[in-house]
Amino acid sequence: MKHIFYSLKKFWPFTIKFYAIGFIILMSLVFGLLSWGMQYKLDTIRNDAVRQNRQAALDEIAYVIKHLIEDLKQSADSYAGQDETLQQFFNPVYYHYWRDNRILGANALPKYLKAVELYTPKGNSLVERTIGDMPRQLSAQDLGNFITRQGEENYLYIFYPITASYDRTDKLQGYIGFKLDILDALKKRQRYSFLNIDTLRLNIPEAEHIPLEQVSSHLEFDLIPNTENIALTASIERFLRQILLTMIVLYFIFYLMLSSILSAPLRRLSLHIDALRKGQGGLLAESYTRSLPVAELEKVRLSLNDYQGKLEEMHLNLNEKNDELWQLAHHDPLTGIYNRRGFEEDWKHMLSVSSGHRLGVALILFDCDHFKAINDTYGHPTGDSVLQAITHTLQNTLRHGDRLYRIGGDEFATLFLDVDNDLALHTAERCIEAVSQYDFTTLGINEPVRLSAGMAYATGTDVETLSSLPKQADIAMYHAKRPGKNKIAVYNPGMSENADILFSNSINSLIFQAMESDEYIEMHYQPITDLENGEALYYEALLRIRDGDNLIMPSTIFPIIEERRLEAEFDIIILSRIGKDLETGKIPAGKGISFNVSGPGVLDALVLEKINSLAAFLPQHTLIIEVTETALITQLHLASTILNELRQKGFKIALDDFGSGYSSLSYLSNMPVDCVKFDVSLIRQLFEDNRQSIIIENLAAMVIKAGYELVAEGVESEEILERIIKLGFKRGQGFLFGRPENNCRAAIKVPFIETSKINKAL
Amino acid sequence: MGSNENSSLSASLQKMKFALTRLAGRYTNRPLATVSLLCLFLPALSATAQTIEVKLPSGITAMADYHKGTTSLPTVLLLHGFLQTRQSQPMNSLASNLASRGYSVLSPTISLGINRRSQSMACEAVHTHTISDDTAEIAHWVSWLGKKGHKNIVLVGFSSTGNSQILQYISQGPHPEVKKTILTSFVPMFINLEERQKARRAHATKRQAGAGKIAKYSLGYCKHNFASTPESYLSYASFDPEKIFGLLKQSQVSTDIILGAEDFILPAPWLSQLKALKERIITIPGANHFFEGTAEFDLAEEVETVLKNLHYHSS
Repeated sequence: MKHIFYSLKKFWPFTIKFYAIGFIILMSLVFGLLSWGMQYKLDTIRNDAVRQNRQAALDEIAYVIKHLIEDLKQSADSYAGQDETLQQFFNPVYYHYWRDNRILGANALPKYLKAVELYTPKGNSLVERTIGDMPRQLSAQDLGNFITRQGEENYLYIFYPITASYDRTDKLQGYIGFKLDILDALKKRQRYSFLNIDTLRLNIPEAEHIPLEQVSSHLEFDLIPNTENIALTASIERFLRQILLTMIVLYFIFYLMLSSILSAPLRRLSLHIDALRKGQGGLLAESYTRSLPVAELEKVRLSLNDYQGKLEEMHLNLNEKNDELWQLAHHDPLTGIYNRRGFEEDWKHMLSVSSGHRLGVALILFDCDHFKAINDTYGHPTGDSVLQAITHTLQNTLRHGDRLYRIGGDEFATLFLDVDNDLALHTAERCIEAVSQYDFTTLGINEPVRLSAGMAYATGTDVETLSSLPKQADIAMYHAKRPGKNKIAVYNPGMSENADILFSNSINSLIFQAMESDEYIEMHYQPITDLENGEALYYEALLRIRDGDNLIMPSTIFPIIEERRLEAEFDIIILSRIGKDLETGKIPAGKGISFNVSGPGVLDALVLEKINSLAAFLPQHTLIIEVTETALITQLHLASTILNELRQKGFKIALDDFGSGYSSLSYLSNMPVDCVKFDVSLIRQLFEDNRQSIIIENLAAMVIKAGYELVAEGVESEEILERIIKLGFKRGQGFLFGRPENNCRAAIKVPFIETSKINKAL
Repeated sequence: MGSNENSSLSASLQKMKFALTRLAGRYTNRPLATVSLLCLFLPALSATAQTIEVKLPSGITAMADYHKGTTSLPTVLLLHGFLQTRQSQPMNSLASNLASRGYSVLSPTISLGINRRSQSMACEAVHTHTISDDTAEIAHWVSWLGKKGHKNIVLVGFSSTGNSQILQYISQGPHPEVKKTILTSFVPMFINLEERQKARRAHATKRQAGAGKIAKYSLGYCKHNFASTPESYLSYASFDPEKIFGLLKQSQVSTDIILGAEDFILPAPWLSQLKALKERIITIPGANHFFEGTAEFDLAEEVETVLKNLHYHSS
């Protein structure tokens, strides 16, 4: 039972067919039970009827026997009253004639009566020779009646006394005896309603005398089938069969109807809903109101269709929203080109399609130089316009079908498939050139707007190789961004080595060790020379980190520091070391010191506190704070305020690396700067025969004219020195005057200056 | 010949009751018919009949009803018809009517060889009796009347056998008191001559073999079913018209003949032959062979008339 229950539970909830079959089985059981009950009742009635019929049959036999005896008695009385009979006792001369002709031959007796004999009062037969085995002598037991079997026949012997009434004493004259075939008599006496007379038989031992009164216990017979009962039983059984047949048909129709109008439509409905779930369905066209309408199903269908319609509408709206969202998610709203998400998905797609194929894949990253300065200087709307202009220019330059991505604020990327390295490089160069040729003055921008590009190229073989392209392009971009470098850098394994160093764990570890202990920190000082007399006016303090016998240069240190956002902490370390050098006299009295403060450091309270702590040395030393224009751009107003306060305390402010970045004149004019240091890139460009050199010359003139103390960086040759002197530069810094060293050595005497001094003196 | 007379009235009534009960028994399911039947027999019940039993020399007990009437009136001995009893019509009614009128009436049942015969005999029954036996019984009963002191005995016979028995008795020398014979419905007995011839041959054979074999004959109304010994048969079959007329002619006793005008049993030439004998023939109009209905009273009237005439002449 438990097993069946658990087996059934597996099918839970049941299907309609299961319920239908269950209902049919239940009804069949009920019908079977009713049929059994009816059959049982019928059997009971039949058995009762058989019992009653048997009793009725016995009654019939008893009735017939009774009347048989009565008739025999009447016959006996009749014969007893006949003179002829009485005459036989008086004179039996013609007894045989009387018996054979007057009794047996008179056709007055039934044929089942086989013999008649007369007996004297003493029981002796009137004649010696009796017929039909009639006894010669009657015993006392015989003087009634008895049945005995002789062979296959059963005979009733019955004897009646014969009396004569003429003498008023009813004197016994003798006896008359009859022998009759009892079964034949019973058969011929009458028609039976209950007894099948043909089957009647007597079970009596041979020659045994059975009193007639006991005959019923020796009777064996079959009953006449009760036609009414049989007809009734047959009618009921036929009725049951008809009901059974009808029920089977009804069950079948019920099952078909249930399957047809409920189960099948529900199954189709279910399949339809499954299809809908899988996104394969539409509106359900089938109507449930055709042949056998089912209002609920039709309502479900209509509701489902309505729901489906609304769902499709919602789906459509959702698709539109998805498209819109996808558009928003994958496109840059400002420029309309793909964004970083779009790039990443395309990149993944490219990885999947290119892997295993030898296709040339090039990834080019573009970055707008000093875009933040543009943004801050001209405002975000102008910055946005610059980005749109760059986008437009790049799209026009790229081939049709090439995708351009804006992957950062001012970072763009494009991806080439199935190209060779030269074509990719040429396209990148055309892009750089196109942007450089764009007339940004239409946007109100006077400064040049440049792009740097880092390109990585690989012939796609496997995912790993291709996956390294973004990093390679980043490294290349880093190289391109480095001051004085070409604006386009194509990745090569050498870059990777530098990058490895740059980002190696040992460097990182060393930098962190330097932050913990200043024993790794070394400050080197490079002179800034007065170009009029060749003397060192002050020294720029430059950071070195000692790694055994090697020195790690700022170009390696600061990318990591910037990456780790450790600028302020390192500014404090550097300032502390400078303060120590000032304190210890490593920096001779009277010699000025310029030191670099990072952009975050300018705004950092601890750094400012450290700077202020150096103010104690101002009486003996000129202290110049060098900040890059990039550092100041972030929060120009606050930075300007802080720097002004420092200026008021006696510090001087120098704008470092001017020309390597944004180099905005309007920006410069708003800065509280005493000195401007032209970047080496600007200095180098002075020697190029193009408009750039003219602009730089005029720029220098303008800076000088504006009253700034102008310092030329990268003075490495007398040619440069001569040129900058001609341009009005008063200060110079470079290897020509001395490399950075760990002490403040005097500037190297430069012949040109010496000659100029002599000439002036003369 | 010894006699055993049971002459009590109660015995007579008992027998009457018995007869009525037997009759009524047939109508047990018909109470109204039973009552009617009893009413019909009321006159008979009122008669004072005695049953007389006499033992014949053969050992057979013969029985008769006896009405003792006025001794001065003639005594009537009634003889029933062929195979009938004293209760048969019309003799039974005639006995009652005559008895009620004061006549002594003796109605014997000829035993026909049956001890205490009280029922009519069937043709098919074994008949061993002869007309001589019958005549002897008549003589016995006449003698019995004589012993009772009856005078002027009139023998009244019915139909062929009763009348033949009277003629046979008369021819053998009647009792001196036998003064008159009345032959009612006097007809010859039907006889198949061919059968009679065969019977005679058989009778001759019997005599040789010494055995009385039963055979079936036609005799009277018994058509081929009169089971009898040839001797018995022949005794009756010998009474052909010729013998009857012969006996009638030789009769020493006056004879009257009463016939029913509607007696269709009478053979066509019979009546004219009777008339030729110049015997007195009384014909009762409307009466059939058995004088049924009111004819029984006519018969009684005619018999009484004969008896009165006889009484008158005797006086």
